[in-house]
Parts: sequence; C-alpha cells; structure tokens
Amino acid sequence: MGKLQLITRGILKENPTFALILGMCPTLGVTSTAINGMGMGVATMAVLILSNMAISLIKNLIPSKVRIPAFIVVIASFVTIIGMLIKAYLPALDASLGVFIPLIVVNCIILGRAEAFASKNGVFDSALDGVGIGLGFTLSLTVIGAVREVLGSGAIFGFSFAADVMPLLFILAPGGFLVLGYLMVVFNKIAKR
Amino acid sequence: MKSSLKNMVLVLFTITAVSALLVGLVDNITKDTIAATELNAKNIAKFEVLNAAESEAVVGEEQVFAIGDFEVVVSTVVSKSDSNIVKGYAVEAPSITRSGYGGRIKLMVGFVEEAGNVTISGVKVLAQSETPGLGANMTQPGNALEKSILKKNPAALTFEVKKKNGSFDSLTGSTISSRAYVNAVETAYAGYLKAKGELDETKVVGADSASGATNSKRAAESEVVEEVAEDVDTASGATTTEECQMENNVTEEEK
Amino acid sequence: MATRLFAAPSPHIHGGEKTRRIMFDVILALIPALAVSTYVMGWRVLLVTGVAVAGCVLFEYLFGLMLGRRTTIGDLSAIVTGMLLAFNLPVGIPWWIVLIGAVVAIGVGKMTFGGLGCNPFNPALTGRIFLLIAYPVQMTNWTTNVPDAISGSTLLAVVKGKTYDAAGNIVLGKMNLEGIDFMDMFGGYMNGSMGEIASLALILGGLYLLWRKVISWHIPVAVLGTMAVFALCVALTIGGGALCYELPLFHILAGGALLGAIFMATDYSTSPMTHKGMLIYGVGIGLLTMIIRLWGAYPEGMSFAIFIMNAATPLINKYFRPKRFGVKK
Repeated sequence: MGKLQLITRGILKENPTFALILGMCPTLGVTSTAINGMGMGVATMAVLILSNMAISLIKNLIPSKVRIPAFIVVIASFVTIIGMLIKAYLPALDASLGVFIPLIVVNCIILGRAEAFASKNGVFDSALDGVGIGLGFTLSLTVIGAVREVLGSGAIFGFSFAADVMPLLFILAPGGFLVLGYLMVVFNKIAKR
Repeated sequence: MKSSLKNMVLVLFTITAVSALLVGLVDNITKDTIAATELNAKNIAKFEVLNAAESEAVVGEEQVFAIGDFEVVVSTVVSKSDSNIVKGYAVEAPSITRSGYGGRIKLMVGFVEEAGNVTISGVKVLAQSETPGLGANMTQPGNALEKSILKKNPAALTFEVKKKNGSFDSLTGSTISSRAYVNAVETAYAGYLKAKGELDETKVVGADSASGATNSKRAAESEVVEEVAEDVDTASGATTTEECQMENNVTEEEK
Repeated sequence: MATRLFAAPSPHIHGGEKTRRIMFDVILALIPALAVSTYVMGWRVLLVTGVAVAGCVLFEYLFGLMLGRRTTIGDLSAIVTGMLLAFNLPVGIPWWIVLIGAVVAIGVGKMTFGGLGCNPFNPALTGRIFLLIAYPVQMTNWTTNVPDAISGSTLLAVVKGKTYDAAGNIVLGKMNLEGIDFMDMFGGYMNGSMGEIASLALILGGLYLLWRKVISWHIPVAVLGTMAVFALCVALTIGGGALCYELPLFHILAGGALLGAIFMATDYSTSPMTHKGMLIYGVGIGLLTMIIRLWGAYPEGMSFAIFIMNAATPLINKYFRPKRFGVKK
C-alpha cells in the first residue's frame, strides 16, 4: 500500500465517522459548532498519532494476552497528558470540549487503530495511518459541526448571517443525530460511486 | 509474542511505570498553570459582573449567609494595590421563592458603590436548566432581563417582571423563568444589604412582596389569579384584544 | 426498482379495507374538533390547517418524485398528516414555520423510512416535535383571541411555575379548583394548540373512529387511564386535597392528552399490533406523559411520550406476537 493511500483511505474508504461509524460519542456530543468539531478532531488526531507510534514501537515486546490492557494504558496516558496540556494552555478549548477530552480514552477509533493497524505495522506507517484516520475524523466532525451551525444558528465558524430564523434544533442534541444520519446517507452515496 | 506469567507481569508493569512517570512529569509542569487558570475562572465571574480588570482586582473577604436552606455568598472585590479600596461586591445567590421550569436558578450579581449610589454592575447566570431557546436565553449577554436592570440602583427596583408592574423586562415567551431570575436578583440584593448591615430584618428575605409570603391558602389562591392575569400579556407584541383580556381578568379578580 | 413481494404473518384474510377509507374516516373524525377550534379561535385555524395540508401533500408528491417512487398522495394519508400537524400548532404560528413542519413531517418522518407503513415514528408528531424544539418561542406563543380565556399561557405551563416560602417549601405548584372551569376545558375555551382544546369534539371523533372500527379502545383507554391513576396517586401522596393540579380530570382535559391518546398514539404503523401490546404501549405513554408534565423541563409531555413509545413499538411487537392462526396455546 502506498504511503499516500494510507492517508487518503482514512478520509474516504475508511472514514471513521461515516464509513466505520466509530467514535459516535464525541461526534454527537461536541459538533454543535464547526470550531468545536475541529478542536475535538485535532485533539483526537494528536492522541491517535502518538498512540499509534508508541504502540507500533513496543508491539514486539507485548505478550498477546495482555495487549489490550497495555494499549489502553498507553492511550490513557497520552489522553491524560494532552488533556492536561489543553487545560493549562488552551483553557477556552477546554471549557467548550469539557468532559469529552478525557473521554477520548474510550474513543474506539484509537483502540481500533492500535489493534487493527499499529500492532501489525511499522512506526512510520502507523504514524501515517494516525494522520489519515485523524484527518478523516477531523474533517467529518468539522463538516457535521458546520452543517449544524449553519442550520441551527445561522452562522459559520462564528460568523452569523441569519440568526433568528434558523431552527434551533440543529445545535441541540436531536439535531446532531439528524445531521449525522443524513450526512451518512450523502457520504455513502458519494463513496459508492 | 508468547505470553507467560513472567513476561505479562513484567511488560505491564514496565508500561504502567513509564506511563505513570510521563503523566507525573507533565502534571508537574502544568499543575501550577492549571490551578491558576481554575482559580481565575472562579474569580473571573466575580470580576466580570463588576467590570473590574483581572490585573487590578483581587477577591477579598467572603461572607456566607444562610437563608432557609440556601446559601448566599458575598465576595468583596478589592483593588490589587490597595486592599482598602473596594471595587464592589459580587453576590452568588439562588432563586429562593420561585423556580424556573427546570428548578432553581443561580446567579452572580455585581453591586458597585459610587459616591453613595449603589448600582447593579452586571449579572451572570451560574446555573440554570431552562428550555433552550426560551428561558435558557437568560444566559445570553445583553438579554432583556439583564438589560432592564444594568446600571440601576437596586433600591429603586421593584422585583417583579414589567407585566406585573415590576422593573424587569421578561424574556420572550418565558415569564416563569424570568420571574425566577428576578427572584434570584432580589435574593442577591438582600445578601448584599446583609453584608453591609443594612438589611431590614423585619422583611422576609426573598419573600413575595405582594402576598407577604404567608403559606396560608388564601395567599396561594390570590397568587394563582395574579399569575394568570400576568401571563396574559407574556407574549411579545401585545394586541388590543389581549389588553382587553387582561382587564377582564383583573375585573374578575376584583369580583 | 425490482418488485419485491412480502409475506405478512398469517392470517391472510383481507378485510376489504383500504388505506383510503381509513384515512377518510380519520379526516371525518377530525372535522368536529376543527370546527370548534375555528369557532373559538377564528378563521386563521382554517388557514393554518390549509397550509399544513397543502404542504404535506405537495411534499409527499415531490419527495415521491425525487425518490422515484409511485406517488402515494391518492391514499389521503398526507392530508391526515397535515391536519394532525396543524392540530399540534398554535394558531398564531407564521406560515413558513408550518411549511418547515410539513417538510420535516413528510420528508424526515415518513419518506426517509420508505413511506406510509414503514415509518417508525408518527410523521405529524415528528413535525411537531421538530418545530417545538426548533422554534420554541413561536411554538409557545399562545396569543389567541380566545374570549374569556383563562390565560395567555396554557394551563399546564401556568401550573408549572412553582413558588416557595422563605424556607423553601412549595407554596404554589398546585392550582386551586376555583381557578379552572372544567366546562370551559371541555368545550374548548382554553389556550393551547389548535386541535387540542376542543375536548368534547375530540371525544366525539374518537367515538366515531371506534364505531367505524378504525381504532380499538385499547390505546386511548390505557393512555388516559394511566394518566388518571398516576395523577390520583400523586395527589394522594403529596396531599393535594382540594388542590387540583394533580387531579385526574385536569390532566386528561389539559394539553394534548385527548388528541394524543385518540388520534396520534393510535397511528397504525407506529403502534403495536396485538391488543396486549397496545395496552402496554398505552400505559407507557400515560406514565411518560405524567412524568414529563410533573417533573420535566417542558410543560406538556404527550408528544414526547408518544414518540418514545413509538420507538419501543418494535420491541413490544417482538414480545407480543400475534398468535398463529389455528394454533392453540
């Protein structure tokens, strides 16, 4: 598999949100605005790249029976570290993402990639895989966030254009489910071509 | 790799140890910054409602008063350079005699004294669970409720919504949430007066001025009629018909 | 598209009923309530209903075209959806919001799932709940011209605001019997959505549907019975005495209880198939409605309750299957 393909397949063929349908909790929870979706995506991507690389590095040392606990410890450490860094240096992002940062630990995308890819491939490929899947996740979350922001509050990336007439529902929880569902339909229709 | 008890214990131990070391290291680096930001976040609300710059103000004395089962916290915010210069009082208070749709509302209200004149310098909603798009609009900066009392002397305010001859504009379509908000502001003012030692203790704090807050059935009944009458013109853009309607209700009440 | 044949569970007896006849009966049953609403609230009732019906029929046709399906507007179901949607809206609602409701009801509620019979949720309710969450201000603006109306808010909203004494005990959270005229609530002189105010007319419509065997008694009786019993229990435990907020009659007449129990909850494709299942479904709706009314963030919970139980319908159907024809237990 080509190096470039490692990145692109995370965006299209194995898009974590629309094709693999993984990591739904943050997807529905934080995407009320485009910028929130993007922030969550980038934080997840950082964890994903780091954990993929670390796990790929130590994959030959881990006995297969304890690989899952070992992966989880590695992932949890990175999430805690990144969580602390965000809390310390980006308090605004921390306030808007809130509980979803520590919840990156249980995002099945990360454990899924550790198990399915990083534990079988080299460090560089694993890093690329992290970039690809991370990009796919970030893009999906940003798109969902943007659609919800436009439909729900008549704004895009914070720039308001039609504030009062748009249905508020889209920035609330039910809007997350609706937008995710219909975007999934559109995505799969396009991806099948 | 083949698993044996020895290597499983060894590997897991090593990984956990290294992880713990790393996390501890980062914690060591970031903990001071985090503590500072968190303390700041708490105080920022106080500075915000007083329009005081973070760099110039510190929180001085804090007084806690119990009203029934509730607590009202009055924080004195003073100048950083001279702790004798009082910038204002940030009062954290819940709504006591009224609740919104989703329970009680908690506010931070700022009171500033200038040349003997007390004014409300800002209001921040600390906790609410009202309907999104209706009562929850009270968290938006510059909402009708906040606007109607900013920079006003609380002593001159009537703690009711305008439709009930009070001083507060209510949020569109949400009288109940608005009245809970008003009640919280009233409680905060009572807390402020208590801190200053100016509270008239004969008046029941946070009590409904109209009925005198007795829980006799009669009072409750008249409350119902009042509430009903007041709700008539809750809706924005009152029409003549509505006003007639309200008059009808009033006459009924008089009967 | 390839034609696929479906085999329904036995018995394979055709009752000679057609969707069109059932829908026509439902429309007939809704007319008395529409008439009372028009009489009480004015001509705008007909206008809003007209926009909703026209919108639903139009969008059913358009979405059918878009999806390349045979058009289904002939079965009158879109008209029923439109009427029920309008019945769930306040009379003063702007027309464009009604149209958005129609798009959601038909597009999201019905056509997304494959059209009539495949929809897991009641389409009209889908539209209403969407609008209620999307446009809370307009959807709770009960500025009506009801003469001598009790208030500008609905009764349920009025009683929702609680007042406490200084020690934090509830003073007002119950309403006194004198405050409400049950005859007014019965006849339609109260505030609310266009179709939910006319209790008597809704009951008449329900009786007509029962007589025509369009619906069975199980769902409405289970819903209203549960609400009444629950309200009574709460009144007894809290000790309301003469205070009627928790009293059964108030809860059955106020808000959308009757409209929901008779017309919305009984929708064929979203309610269970067997009578036992229907009873469980109805009890669930009654319980959820009362829980939301008494403790939720919204004053009225009927629509949410039906929606939640719609989602539970496949599960109920799984555990209460129709008996196979000719098999003894």
